[in-house]
Amino acid sequence: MLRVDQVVSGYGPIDVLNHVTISLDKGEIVAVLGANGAGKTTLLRTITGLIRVRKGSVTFGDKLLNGLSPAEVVKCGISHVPEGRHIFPDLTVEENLLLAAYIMPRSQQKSRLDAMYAMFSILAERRKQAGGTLSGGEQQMLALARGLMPNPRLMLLDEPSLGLAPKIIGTVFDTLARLRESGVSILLVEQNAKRSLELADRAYVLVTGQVALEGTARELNGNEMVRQLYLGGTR
Amino acid sequence: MSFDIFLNLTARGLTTGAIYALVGMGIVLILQTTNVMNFAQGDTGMFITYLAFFMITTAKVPYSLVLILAIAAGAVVGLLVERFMMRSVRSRSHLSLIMLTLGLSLLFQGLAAFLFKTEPRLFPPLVSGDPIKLGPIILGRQDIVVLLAAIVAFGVLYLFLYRTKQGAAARSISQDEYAARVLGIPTPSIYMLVWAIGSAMAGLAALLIVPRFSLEPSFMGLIQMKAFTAIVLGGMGSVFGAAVGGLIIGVVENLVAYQFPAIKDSFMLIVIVIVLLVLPQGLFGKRQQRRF
Amino acid sequence: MTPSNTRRMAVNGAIVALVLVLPLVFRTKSSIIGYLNIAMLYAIATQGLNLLMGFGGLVSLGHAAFMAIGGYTAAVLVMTYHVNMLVAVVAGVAAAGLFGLVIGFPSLRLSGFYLAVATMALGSSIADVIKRLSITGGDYGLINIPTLRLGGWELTTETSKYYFFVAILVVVFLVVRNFLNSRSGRAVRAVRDSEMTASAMGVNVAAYKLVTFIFAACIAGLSGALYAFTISYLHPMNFGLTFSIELLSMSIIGGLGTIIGPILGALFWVMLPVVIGGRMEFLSTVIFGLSIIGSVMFLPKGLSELVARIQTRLKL
Repeated sequence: MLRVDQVVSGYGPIDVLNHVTISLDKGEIVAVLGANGAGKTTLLRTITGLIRVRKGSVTFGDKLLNGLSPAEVVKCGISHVPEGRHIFPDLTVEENLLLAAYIMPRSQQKSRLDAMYAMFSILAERRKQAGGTLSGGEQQMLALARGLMPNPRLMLLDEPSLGLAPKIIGTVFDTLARLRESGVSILLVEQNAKRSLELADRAYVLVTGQVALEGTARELNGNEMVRQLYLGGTR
Repeated sequence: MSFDIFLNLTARGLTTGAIYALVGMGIVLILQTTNVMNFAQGDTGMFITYLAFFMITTAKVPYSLVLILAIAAGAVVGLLVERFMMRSVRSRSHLSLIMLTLGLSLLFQGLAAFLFKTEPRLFPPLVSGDPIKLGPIILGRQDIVVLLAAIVAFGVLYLFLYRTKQGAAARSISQDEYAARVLGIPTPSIYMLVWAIGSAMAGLAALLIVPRFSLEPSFMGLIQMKAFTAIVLGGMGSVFGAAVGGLIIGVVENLVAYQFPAIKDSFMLIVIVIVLLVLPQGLFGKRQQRRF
Repeated sequence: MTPSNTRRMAVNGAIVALVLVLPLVFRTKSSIIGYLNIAMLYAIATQGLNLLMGFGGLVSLGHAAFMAIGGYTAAVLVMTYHVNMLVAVVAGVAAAGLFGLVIGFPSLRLSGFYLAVATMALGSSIADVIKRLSITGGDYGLINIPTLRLGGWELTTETSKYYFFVAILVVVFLVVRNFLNSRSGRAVRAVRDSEMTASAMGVNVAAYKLVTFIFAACIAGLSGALYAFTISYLHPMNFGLTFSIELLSMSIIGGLGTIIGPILGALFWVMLPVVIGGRMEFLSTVIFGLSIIGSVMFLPKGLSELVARIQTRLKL
C-alpha cells in the first residue's frame, strides 16, 4: 500500500534520510524505531509532503506522492499525527476535530465528528473545552481523533507515547490495536520499542538516516542488538 | 468639562477610534496568521481611496457602488501582495518582511503622487445634511455612517473568524502553523484570504475617514501610527483587543485634545512605548506571544 | 602580484582618482557637488543604521531622530551659546549617543516587530518634542545656522565641503570596518545571529546591544551636526518617520550588512531624482518603492551585490 523507495530528503544543506526504503501493506501496523535524530520524524514529514523528496519516490497505492502538498496527501487518504500532539490550545475540542476534516463537505464532517465522539467518549464530554486545558492523555486522544477525522486508510503516528504516563500509554496502544481491527493501517514511529514491537506486525530500525534492520516484530524482538540498544529496560 | 461636552467628545472619539480599530484589526489579523507586520496597511487604504475618488469624480460612478468596488479592490490588492510578494519572502527575517511592507508603502505613495498629483483634494462624504441630535449628543451624519459601517465590519469579521471554517483555519494557523499544515489545511489560500480581508478593511477605513481630512498621499500616515498604538494597547495577539484598543485610543485622544491640544499626538507615541515596556502583552494579550 | 590583484589595484586607484577629480569635472555645476555632499552625509547616517540593523540585527525605525539630535544640539550650542563649532559637533555626537542609550533600552526587552514599533514611536516622538521647544525654533525650524568651519577656515564652497566630507566618510567607514573586525564587532554579529548562543559563549548581550545603539546613534549624530552646518536650516518635520524610512531604504537598497552599501544607497537615493529631473519628481518615489521591494525579494545585498557581481564578471 505504502512504498517509500530509496528516498533522500532533509533540511537545507543536510540530507537526513539517506536512501531509505520502507513498505507497508494494507491492514498492517509497521513500527519505525530508532534514536533521536535518526530520521524518524523526517520520514513521516517526507511522506506527508511537509518536506520535499530529493531523490527516490513515495507511492501510496498507485499514486505517486512526490511533490504533493500536505493538503493533497490528506486527500489521498493518509493522515499524520505529529510528534508532541500539536493541539490548537485556544480552540475547542470540537473545533480541533472539525479542522482535521477541513477538506470534507459539511455533512460528512458532522458524521465523522459523531463517530469520533462515539469512539472517544472523553472527547464528547469535553467537546466545548479549550484544547490547551486537556490533560496529556486526553490531548493524545484528541490528536488520534484528529488523525481519524478525514477517514484515512493510513495513519502516520509520531511518538504517540511521548510524555505520557505508563497507564495512559497502555490506553493509547489499545486504541491503536482497535484501529487496526477497524481497517486502518498504521505507520508508527516510536522510541518506546517494547510496546511498539508488541503491537506491530513488522518493524524497521533507522540509524542515522538509513534502514539498519528490518523484519517482523518477533524477529526484531529476538535480535540481540535491538535488545541491547532499545529494549534494555529504561530508555 | 461639562458632562454634555464629555459625552460629545466621547461619541466623536468613538468614531475616530472605530477607524483606528478597523486599521488595527486588519494589521493584527495579518500579523497573527501570516507573521507579517504590514506597515503598508494605511497606505493601501490611501491608494484605494484615490481609486475611489477617481471613480466618483471622473467616471461618475454612484457612491454606494464605489464603496463596494473599493472594498473589493482592496481585497484584490491584498491578495496579490500576498501571492506575489509575501509568499516568496515568508521564510526570511522580521526585518525583511518589515522592509517589504515599507517598500510597498512607499510604492503606493509614489504611485498616488505620480498618477494623481499631490494637491490635496476634497473627498465628498457619503452622506450630507445636518448633524443629528441624539439627546445631548450631536453627531455629524458621516460620523454615524462611520460607526454603523464599523459595527457591520466588526460583525462580519467576527462571523468570519468564529463561524466559518476558513476563519477557524486562520485562527488555528495563528496558534500553531505547523499543526495546521500537518492536518491538511491549505495554508497558502488562507494567507491570501487573510490578506484580502485585511486590505479590504484598510480600504474601508480610509474611505470612511477621508472626508474629515483632505485626500493627499500622506493622509493615512498618522492614522496608521495610531492604529499601531491601538494594537499595542489591545495586545498584538488579539484582533478584538485591537478593536477595543482603537476605541479607547480614539476616545482618550479626543478628551486629551480638548484639554491639552498641544500634546495630542506625542501623547499617543509615548503611550506605545510605555505599554510595550510595562505590559507587552497589552490588555488582552495571552500569556506568551506565540510567534515572537 | 597576481593579475587579478593588479587589476583590482588599478580599478581601486581609478575610483580614488575619480572621487578626487569629480569636483573639477562638475566645477560649472556646483549644485551637483552639493547633491553629492548631501549624499555623503546621508551615507554617514546610513552607515550607522547599517551597523545597527545589518550587523547588529536590531530594528530601528527611528534613526532620523539621532540625526536630529546631533544637528539641533550642535546648532543650538553654536547659535545660542556661542560654543566653538568643533566642540559643538562633538557635543552633538555625544547627545545623539546618549539618546542611543535611551532608545537602546527597549531593545533589551523587545525584539522583532515589537522593537520596530517601539523605535518608530520613540523616533517620531523625539521629532515631535523638538517641534514644540522654542529653543529649537519650534515649528518654524532653525534658520541661518552658520556655515561649517574648521578652525579659522570657513567651508563656503561646495567643493571645499566635498573634500572635507570625503575625508570624514573615509574615516567613518574605516572606523566601522575596524570595529566590525574587532572582538566587539564579532560579538555584535554573534548577538545578531543567535542571542542564546552568544550569551552561552559569555557575551554580555545587553551590553553589546546598547553599545551598538550608541555607536550607531553617534555616527548619525555626526551626520546630523555636519548637515546642520551645511544646509544651514533644520526643521523637525524633516526628521520624522518618513526620513527614518528613507534612511532604512538607503540601507536596504545599498545592501544591508555591507560596508559600501550605505554610500551606494545614499547616492542612489539622492541622485535619482536629480537625474530624472523636476517634472517627474514622484517617479523617483515609485522607483524607490520598487527598488526596496526588488532588493528584499531578489537582491538581499542590494546594490553592493550588483557591484560584487560586476567584480566577478570583470574577474577582479
